[in-house]
Amino acid sequence: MNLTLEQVAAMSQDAGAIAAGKKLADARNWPERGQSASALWGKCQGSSVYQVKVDLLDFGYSCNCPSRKFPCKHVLGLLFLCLNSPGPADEQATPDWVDDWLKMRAARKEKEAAPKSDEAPSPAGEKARQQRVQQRAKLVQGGLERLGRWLDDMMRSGLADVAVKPASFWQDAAKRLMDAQAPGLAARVARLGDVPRSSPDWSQRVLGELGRIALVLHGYARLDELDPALSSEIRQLVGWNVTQDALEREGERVDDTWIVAGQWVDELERLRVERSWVVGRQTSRVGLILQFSAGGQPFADSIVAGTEQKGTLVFYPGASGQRAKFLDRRGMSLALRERPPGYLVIEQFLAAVSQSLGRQPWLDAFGGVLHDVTIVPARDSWWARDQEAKALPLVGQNHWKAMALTGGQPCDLTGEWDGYGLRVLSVFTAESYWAL
Amino acid sequence: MDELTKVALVGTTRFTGVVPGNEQPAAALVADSSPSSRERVLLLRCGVESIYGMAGRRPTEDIDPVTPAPPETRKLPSRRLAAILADAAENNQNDLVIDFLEHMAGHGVVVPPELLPLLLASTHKDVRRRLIPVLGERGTWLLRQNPEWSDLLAGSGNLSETPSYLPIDVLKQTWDEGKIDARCETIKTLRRQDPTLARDWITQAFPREKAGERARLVDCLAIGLSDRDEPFLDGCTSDRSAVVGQSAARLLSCLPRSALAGRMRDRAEAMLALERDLAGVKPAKIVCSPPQQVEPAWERDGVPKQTPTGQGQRAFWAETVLAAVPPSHWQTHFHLQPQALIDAVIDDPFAGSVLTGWTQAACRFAATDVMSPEWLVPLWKYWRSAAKGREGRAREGDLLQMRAVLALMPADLAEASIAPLFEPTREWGEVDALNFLDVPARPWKLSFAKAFLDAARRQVQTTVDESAYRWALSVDQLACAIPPEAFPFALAPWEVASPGETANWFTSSVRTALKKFIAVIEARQRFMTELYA
Repeated sequence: MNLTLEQVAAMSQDAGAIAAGKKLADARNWPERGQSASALWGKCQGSSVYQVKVDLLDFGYSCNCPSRKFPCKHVLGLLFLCLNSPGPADEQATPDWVDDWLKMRAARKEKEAAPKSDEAPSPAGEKARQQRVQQRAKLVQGGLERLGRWLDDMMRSGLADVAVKPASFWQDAAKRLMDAQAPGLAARVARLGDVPRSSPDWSQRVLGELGRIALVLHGYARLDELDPALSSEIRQLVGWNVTQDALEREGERVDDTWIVAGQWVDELERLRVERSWVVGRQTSRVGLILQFSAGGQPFADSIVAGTEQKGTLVFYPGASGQRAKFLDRRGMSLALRERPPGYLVIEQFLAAVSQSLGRQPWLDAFGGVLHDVTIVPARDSWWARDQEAKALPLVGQNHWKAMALTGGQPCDLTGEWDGYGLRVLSVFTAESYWAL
Repeated sequence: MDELTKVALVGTTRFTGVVPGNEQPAAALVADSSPSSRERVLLLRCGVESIYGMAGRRPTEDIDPVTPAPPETRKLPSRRLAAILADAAENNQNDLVIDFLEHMAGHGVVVPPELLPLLLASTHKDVRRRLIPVLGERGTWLLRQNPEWSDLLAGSGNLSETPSYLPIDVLKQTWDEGKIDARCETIKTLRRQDPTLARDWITQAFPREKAGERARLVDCLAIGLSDRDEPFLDGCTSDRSAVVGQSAARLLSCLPRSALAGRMRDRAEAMLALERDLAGVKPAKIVCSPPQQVEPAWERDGVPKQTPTGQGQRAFWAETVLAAVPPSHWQTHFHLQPQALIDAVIDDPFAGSVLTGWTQAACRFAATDVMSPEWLVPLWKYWRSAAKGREGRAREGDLLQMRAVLALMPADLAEASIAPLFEPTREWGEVDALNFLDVPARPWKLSFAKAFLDAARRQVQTTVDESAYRWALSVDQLACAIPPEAFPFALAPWEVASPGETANWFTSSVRTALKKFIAVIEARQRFMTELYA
């Protein structure tokens, strides 16, 4: 295992669990532990003996403690311990309790990867399904009409009023869209609540986003006239899910060594969204992997920032070709040692942004690696400045840390651009990766 | 602001004109598909406009580059060492951080870049001070980028024995623009480089400063103090703020050739008289007779007429005047050794004031008066026996004097003075020794650490009460004073007395404190192993 302490700590969103994990990272707490090419395991003496297992292929983990934190302190403790004192170097035979778990995981993956049974659903089932779809379409339609009236009202009374609206003004609208089963638009409306008065140009920003939402409505009413890739995209924007089945049938598959170049977790009201930007080592293709978690549940897969691993990514059908999901991951997940592929200059990155917008005009996040930029504080703000002396404003935090790490030297920066500011997710400098 | 935004801000009800159009070709697409209302037209056009804006966004071009940091000349720590330091810093374990930084400085290892912002953000004075030697090239460079950190930069020349010369313009900028802390650090640094220039800066700025800041700036002159400062300090003694005057008077008394020092000596000599028994039977006696009234000139020399509440005027004047005269003066004046001088005054009604004055003088002249160290053991003994017989606030005052004397002692002597207090006697309670343990320099000598740990073990093993708890707390708080050689003693199993079956608050608190102590010792052990690896 060649992760860094920071990478292990980043697997958890819980400072308490990290601190407790560090306390457990002491060989005395582990009467039994071992490692093989594919797994890491140990028994931890807590209030009873807990069996901790980590799959080194994808950093999946399991522990039989009753904790509701994922990963729990035992898993973190075992990983920290493994980093601090690598333990017996030679591989050991996996004990039965680890073997069983690995086999179970393998079986589950196989089952997920296996093509769905070809037999057509029973006519009755199919009919019921279609009825459900129609019902939802009706609900969505109603919801979007209400949303349209809400938008029109705002234009009638003027946006100046919006500055003094309470947060509930936006939340209520978002809730109505949730009830109408249009979660995609609901999230967009909910996010708008943060914008008023957040920056000098807030009115333009709010107005722009309201306009784009109106364009979604406009497009949704004309789905049949649009090219299938774009209409699929609009349906996803509204909140229609792409089924697993459709994803596998229609999604574009790309084989590569995928670098998890940057990651952050967006904390929404009851939902946490993990956004991982991946870049293909050979193809330089950029993808966004989203994982959702409600109520403190763990994300389904461990996607560790600053690692790379061979695998197949399937991109969601649609015009943007941005959102993706791992179909499978093969071989060891390795810590990033070589610079990730990226844009040579900021103009090149912005040109890629324009092209993406040309394909899918509602995109509001563009990830990527900018090569050889310096981090510069200037005019009470922070900037990423490239070799052509062009710069983009930075948002987010930890800029001083990025500044300290890079020392004013060019670095490779992974960021997420929203049209206004670049959120710095990581820097790669002097052959090491630093999440920020 | 563009036309569309203006319309949208006002609202279509109040705007009667035609909704402005877009010139972009895509706008035509929207226009052709005939939206239902003016409001919707406005919205769609705003949407198109915003997508156009985002797609056509240009980078900013007039951002100046930064000068990169020079390459690091000293060693960077291993990632594992950095992780141990990061843990301590993140958990605000300041003592531990200080210990680590000191060891890194001793080893020529600098703070790793990723931890610089976290450590520079520390508000703990001692942590910040100890950062200076381990900043490395990267840290020093980073400091200059952030004005909030510049006081550290200004102070960096004030710490090392061989001052690192900072460019005058860097200092001048902090002096002109910084906050008072940073400005004081600047002056202290400059006093080591060029004392005259530093005094000139203060002289120029003086009329504009507030009283509190004037006093602090005067105090800074203690560094590099010389006879050349006398005229300026003399002027300060008539400052309209009494605090400034007292600061200046204190510094003038430290210049043996100054007029003020001479006046104070005369006043002191007039107060103390030696009565010798010519037959040599009775021991010599010193009689202290402070004046009934003081002249106004005294006040100008830093002896206020108004005494602090609770103290007699004459006693206070005796104390203040004696504090301004080097203790060694009395050795030559009366031809007696410090112990004999103390014995001679001990029965005088003003003995307490004389001894307080002498103790203060020992502190004030410790650095300059070669004979002051001879006073430390006799003074310590005096205050120790004074404390034995007293209670309450009087006793607390005695303990403070003991701490003041202890702080002047070299480490060996300080430890040897405290160690006997570990053995509880009838006069000394079980916890009295704990009052002094933060004074000796860290890390302690092995023998002292062992004596301390033994005493602590005895205490927690035999008693279940507040004294055991206070010892355990001290053990925890002093974990960073234990030298590495004593780690095996520290880590040996601790037995904690427990009263029968029932859980007891004291027992569990003692156990918690000891657990924390062990964790700190183990962290230090890991750090050392890694540092020496």
